[in-house]
Amino acid sequence: MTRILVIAKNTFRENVRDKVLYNLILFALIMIFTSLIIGQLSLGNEVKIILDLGLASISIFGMLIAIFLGIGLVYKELDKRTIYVLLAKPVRRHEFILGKYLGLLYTLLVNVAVMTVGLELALLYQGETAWSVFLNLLPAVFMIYLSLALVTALALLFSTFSTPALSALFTFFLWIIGHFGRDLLYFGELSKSVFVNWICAGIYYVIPNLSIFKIMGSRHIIQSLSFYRPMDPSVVAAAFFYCLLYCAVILSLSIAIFLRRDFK
Amino acid sequence: MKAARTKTGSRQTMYCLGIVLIGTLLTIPLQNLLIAHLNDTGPDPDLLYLNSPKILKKMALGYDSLLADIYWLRTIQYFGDRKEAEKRTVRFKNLYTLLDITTTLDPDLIDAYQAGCIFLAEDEPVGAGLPGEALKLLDKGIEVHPEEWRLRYDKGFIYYWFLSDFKSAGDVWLEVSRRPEAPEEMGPLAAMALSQGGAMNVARSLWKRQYDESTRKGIRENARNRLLSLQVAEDLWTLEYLLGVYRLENEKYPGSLEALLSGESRKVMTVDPLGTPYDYDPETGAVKLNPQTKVHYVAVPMRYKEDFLTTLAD
Amino acid sequence: MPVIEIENLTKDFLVGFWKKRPVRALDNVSLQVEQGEIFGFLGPNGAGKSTTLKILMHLLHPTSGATRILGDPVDSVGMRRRIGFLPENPYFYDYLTPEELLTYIGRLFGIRQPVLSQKVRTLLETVGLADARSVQLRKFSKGMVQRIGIAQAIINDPEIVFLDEPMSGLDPLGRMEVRRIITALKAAGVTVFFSSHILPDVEALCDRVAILNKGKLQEVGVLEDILKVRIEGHEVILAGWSDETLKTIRRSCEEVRTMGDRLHVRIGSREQMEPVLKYVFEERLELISMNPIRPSLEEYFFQELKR
Repeated sequence: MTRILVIAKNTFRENVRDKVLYNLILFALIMIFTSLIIGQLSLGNEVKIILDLGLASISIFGMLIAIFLGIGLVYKELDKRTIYVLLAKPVRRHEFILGKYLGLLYTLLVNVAVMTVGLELALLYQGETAWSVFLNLLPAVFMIYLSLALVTALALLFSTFSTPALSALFTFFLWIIGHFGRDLLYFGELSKSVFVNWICAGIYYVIPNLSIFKIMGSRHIIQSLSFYRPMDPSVVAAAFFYCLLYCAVILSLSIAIFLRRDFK
Repeated sequence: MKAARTKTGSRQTMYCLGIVLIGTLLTIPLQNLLIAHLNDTGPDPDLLYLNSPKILKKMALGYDSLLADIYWLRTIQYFGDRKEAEKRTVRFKNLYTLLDITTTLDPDLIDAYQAGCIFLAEDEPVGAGLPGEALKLLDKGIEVHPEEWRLRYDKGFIYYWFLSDFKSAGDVWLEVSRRPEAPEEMGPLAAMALSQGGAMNVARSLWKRQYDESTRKGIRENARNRLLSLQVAEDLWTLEYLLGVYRLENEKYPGSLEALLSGESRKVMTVDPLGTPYDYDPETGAVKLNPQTKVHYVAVPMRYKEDFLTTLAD
Repeated sequence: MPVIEIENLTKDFLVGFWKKRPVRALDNVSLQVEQGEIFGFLGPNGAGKSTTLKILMHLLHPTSGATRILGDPVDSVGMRRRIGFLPENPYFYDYLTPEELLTYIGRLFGIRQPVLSQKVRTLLETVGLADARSVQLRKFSKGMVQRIGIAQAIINDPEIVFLDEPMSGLDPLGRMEVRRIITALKAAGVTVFFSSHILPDVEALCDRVAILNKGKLQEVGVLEDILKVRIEGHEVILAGWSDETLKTIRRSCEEVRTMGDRLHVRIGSREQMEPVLKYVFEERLELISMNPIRPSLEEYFFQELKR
């Protein structure tokens, strides 16, 4: 366990010293503050628009960070041959994978926290005074963070056997179809063939379902809205366990691949 | 000295694959539970972020036609999904904007003008109850497609039925009738509208036309309801009239509708067009649709009743 | 008791994009390394040295055969606490400083503060990087990287150190430095297993060597034994000679060179040696030295490869 944490800490340091990260965070913050201007165009809906755009920015830029850093996690160590040094030390291969993953998760946590603070500041600047808005925002951000944890695991999986460019492509592709899984199920139900139906259902359950992490939106945050819906904590809990299980599956698969690898 | 490595290595691999299998199976119920929540996320705030057709046309990057199709599908969903519409504070607040965007992106989408104007003009809760917006949409279409007589015909229809502006309706139809491609009945239609605005037979022929011509199922369904409602209105008004006459002669209402009609020469229906008998109360003489009826009754404006009663008295 | 055991080790790599075919990188290699010796692993580039080392480090899975280090299988984590490894052309994290790198590696071994920072400081001094301790590694020259590589390999006071081409890319001074470190390790009782194609270093350092070519083991043994077989005569160096001497010696030996006041005589066989030595004693010439002539490792290598 200590070794996993030591590797995680070093991965975090590696990420923090990467310039790509700062560019992406900067863009996200710019997006969040742009929402202040766009919000003004919609008379009476400023807070909602700031929240919608802000949460979308956190999710999209978080996804980009997760993919860009995730695909390099293992590949960089292979490409630069630092893996030779590391694995010759008393480090088991699964410890290496888990350490790398946890390191990036920690990086993402810090990033999402920075972006969330930016969003809260934008709301404050807008003149939002309801405490509930600032607090209700947190579970929504947590759900986004869960989806990022999942995307990171996918990027890591691909980076154990593929080049960064392909890994990025695969991960991005899965991220997209992760939002359309439901339609695949419908397609299967429409089909007359039981076989096609089964195949579709199989794929539906195997690909990550990312739309469930977007359940929480501005309607769960702003109590004054007519369409306000309080968030059911059990949904957050279910999403958390879904994420946990899915990441465990993906990481196990990554480790299984990594165990069998030759480092030429 | 056996190769111990391979043993531990494959055992670890087996553990990993075990987690993969069991984990995947366990995610299935969780995913189903969350999806159930996803479908129940409360009312839609009904907010359009991009509501300027011009900006959207620029952003389409040349895929105008494709984007128009997408917006047209979205419009139909927006209008057609009754459950979602019920959840909104204003049912069809963004309907006109969506139609405007669709027709700006693809001005040749005649269906969008034709069906769209009915969506907009039809009374709530069926439509948006905005006949003015419907005319705006049709004018936009007529400007781009002056040769398309159907758009002008629809314009007259909106004037006639939804705005009761019989003069304007007649004028529009008169103009249509002068076009070579217009069908022959446009002339008489214009004349009728100008001379006897508010006549039941005009109304019936208008809705009949909608029913016969439209290829859109929803529009045809609506026209059928309108036609059935017109028939119901005629039946009830006739019965009311006869009951009034009976009471004047006998100082009381008849015991049943059959009794009322025993000596009546003209053909009067005591059942609605879909076969359910009308409700009759001998005490008050009130006659109305049975609650069990299969007819989706839509109220017919009272001015048609006046017109109808004058023809009945003759 | 041998600390490294390699038995019938074979490794095939699959090459080709579509139809993969196996290419044999190691062919039935067996050898043992005893405790406390400096063992040289020799061979030209592509001979299979790095492949062997990577299998020992559990970076590659062998196709067949068995390997043990300190009596444990190579995937044993406990065993890896007791060894050190320097890969060929090592490369470390660009964004770290030597101090951070060594601290990171030390933590992986579970070394705790304040012992760790003390250790890092001593190590940096040992490898001569004390001045560069907080410079990011991407600014390092190849020689400096090699030194930090050695430092990370010995941070855990290992019982065996595996060095893959530790001298490559180093200037003469750097090579002397590495030699010094290896000798010091031996003095501390550490077994050193190193691969190289730089022969003078091997000649100067190794107790025993293995020679590998095209994946096959050519020879294992004490360097002297391998080379002694081919003694090609002796070289005698004389001083205080005259023209007369030169003329006499030239009669029995062909190879005679004058170098200042010294005379280098190359004697090819035993038959030639007797008259020369007899003459030297009779004339009371000064005998400076007399050495057997054997091929240098380079020459040996060259001949071996030609065969």
